[in-house]
Amino acid sequence: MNSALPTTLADAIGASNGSPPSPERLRQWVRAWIAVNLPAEWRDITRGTEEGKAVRIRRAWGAKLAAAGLVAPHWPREYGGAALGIADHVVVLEELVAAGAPEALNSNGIGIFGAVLLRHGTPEQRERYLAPMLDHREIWCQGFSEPSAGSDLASLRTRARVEDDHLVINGQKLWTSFASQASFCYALVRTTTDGPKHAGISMVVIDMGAPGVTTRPLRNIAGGSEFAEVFFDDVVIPRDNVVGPLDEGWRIATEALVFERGLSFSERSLRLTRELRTILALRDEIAERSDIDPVLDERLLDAHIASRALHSLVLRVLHLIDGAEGGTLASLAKLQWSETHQHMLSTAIALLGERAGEPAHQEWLRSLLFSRGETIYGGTSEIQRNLIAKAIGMPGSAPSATRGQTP
Amino acid sequence: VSDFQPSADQTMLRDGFRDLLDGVMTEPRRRVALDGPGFSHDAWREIAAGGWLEVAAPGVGDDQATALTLALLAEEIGGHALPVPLTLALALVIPVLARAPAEAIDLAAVLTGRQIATIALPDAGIPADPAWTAMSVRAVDGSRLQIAGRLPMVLLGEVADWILVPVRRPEGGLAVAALDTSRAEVRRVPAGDLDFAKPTTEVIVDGAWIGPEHLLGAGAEDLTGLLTDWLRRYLVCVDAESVGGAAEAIHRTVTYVCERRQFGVPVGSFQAVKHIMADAYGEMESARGLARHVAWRLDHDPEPPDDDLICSRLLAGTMYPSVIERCIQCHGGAGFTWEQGLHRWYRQALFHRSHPFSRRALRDHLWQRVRAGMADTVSA
Repeated sequence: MNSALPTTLADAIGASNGSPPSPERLRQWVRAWIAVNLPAEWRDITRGTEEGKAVRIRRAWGAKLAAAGLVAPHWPREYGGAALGIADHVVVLEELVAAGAPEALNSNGIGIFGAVLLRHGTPEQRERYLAPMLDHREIWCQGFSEPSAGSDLASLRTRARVEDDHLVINGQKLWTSFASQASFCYALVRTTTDGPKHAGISMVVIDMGAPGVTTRPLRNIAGGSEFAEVFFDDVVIPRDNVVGPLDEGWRIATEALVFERGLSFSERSLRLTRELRTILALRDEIAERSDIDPVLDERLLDAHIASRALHSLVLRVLHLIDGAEGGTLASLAKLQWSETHQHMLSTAIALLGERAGEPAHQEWLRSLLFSRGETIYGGTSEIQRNLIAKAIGMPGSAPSATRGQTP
Repeated sequence: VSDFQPSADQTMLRDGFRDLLDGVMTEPRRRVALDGPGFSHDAWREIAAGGWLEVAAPGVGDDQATALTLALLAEEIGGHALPVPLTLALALVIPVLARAPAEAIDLAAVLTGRQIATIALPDAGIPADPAWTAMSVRAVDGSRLQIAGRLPMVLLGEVADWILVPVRRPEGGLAVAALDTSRAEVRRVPAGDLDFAKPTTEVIVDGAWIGPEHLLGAGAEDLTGLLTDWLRRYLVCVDAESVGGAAEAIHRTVTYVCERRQFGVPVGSFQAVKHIMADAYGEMESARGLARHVAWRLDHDPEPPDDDLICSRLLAGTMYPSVIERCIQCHGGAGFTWEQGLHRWYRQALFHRSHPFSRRALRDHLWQRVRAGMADTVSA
């Protein structure tokens, strides 16, 4: 089979006369391609994997995926995708996760900013940025959060002054993942200060090598520093680096986030299921030496049930991606994924007990520590609950509850 | 990807059913249904007259109801506080009766609501291997069986004309006896009314002879497969009914907390209350997705999705009381009264939690499957 194995998704589709192959054929091809291309030592790297190593692997893997047309298979063909439908895309994700493949390093940039460029970018912007983003020649980071704009993102203060054919940027971003590795940052900046806070925000591309850009790595709770603070001091970017209309960045970004969430939660829910199986194996290993607290077994069983419910929920999100209902279900998926994942990892650490500190188990500990961020980033659990409450018809916030909170 | 979103046809059918139930549940009838246990013959006949029992009978109604269709209807049943245990009829009794008729039962009379049939549910085992035979065969005489025993909890038992009773066949497998409840050998004792819509009856049978005309399919075939197949659909419909009940309680509570004012604002505007309801909604939608997915897979997968069926039963069983408890809390003092009707949903939720199987048995079985790496992880 390998001798005849098409090396790209486009070839695989070409081999079936131009239309996507049946889901079974597609699955077989992806599986065979992974078997050839994914080295054993790249498989099953966890969130707890040592950072430099994880970044290296995820970048190299992203490049390989791109070369095969698998990094954004749902994108149009002219931009490196294969125009796969949702169902086929999920087949690809299922196979990648089943093989323990890591996430591409640029997955955030591709999922959010790539989608923005496809919809709102100029032909020149697409030409310049998309291909190197997909093939991981250029790494992207996201400049959204700020010290005083976390949950209340729209109150961001990083200012971009429009002067003739360029913008001058001043301000600070925070929690910027892979800022140290990134060539570019896609950022939300304030271009107009009067009027409602959601208006007057623009999306811009900032060259991370430009004069006036300083990054300061931040240590996360797991001891790693994949994210950083980024400071902009009179950073000059050309006017052409504005994506979409000036002052419309908020709308553009939220649009892209809805679609991104469907796919990324699908992948996360699949990964969670796989991780649960690893924890069950760990449990059996521990059971050979010591008694297992039956309460922990019950928790593992509950995690299985939750993972099945999450799987069904994510499928609904994918099918309803354009509907309003899909938006609420995506908030639910975020909540349920993050909370289930935390419970699961905390059960793994409870199973290990005081042995959780042993070098062999460091990755579980780091994974648990890292997972504490999952109910915080990408919209905290509390913000998700606010969104859900609003969607089900709960009344607007009481005056006493609105202070310092997103309306 | 399994596309278990309801189709346009299914949505239309569901909406028609909703309209009918809106009409059936008149205000006085709603009051009665919230006030205590009972069975409304009038409601039952109105639903039957609308053709909704026929929906579940292939070859009689126009539509061959799929498990997903039945689940959507069951969500409506749960939302309407019906004073009749309709889910059991739609998902189990009528499909079985229509596929394996008994000469003595006039199917048309059942479908039009003139006669009522119920079934003795298994109360032990797991979905793939339910303990069907609480009743034993005491003697065999040619093609006649004498059955005896005690059925501790029969839904609809008090009003049913017929109780379908699975019994072991002398030649192996299961036969289903249609037990005429007016017979002298049959004694019925009210057994409980935790769920107002499903008061249960203890049925004691003291040696009733059953002829072939009273055996489903004349007793010619082993009916284990047929019964178990439709039991699976019934189970997922219990989950769907739970989802419908929870969704209705959430709707009522959201309405209430928008109207009820304290500190000069609607109580629902406080974040503490919002988050309680967001969590209730999340639990409900989560159970809804899994139940619908399992129903869809019952229609499409070559093998029944028994592991996920158990997941769904366990999840919906936990979700329903948990949601209602949150709804009661958010009603404040009013939730503690009989006025809002939440007690009715709460009682049903407590009944559904372990209906009809013990949660312990389901969890133990599922745990074995999960540990062996057998339980579904990714559905194809």
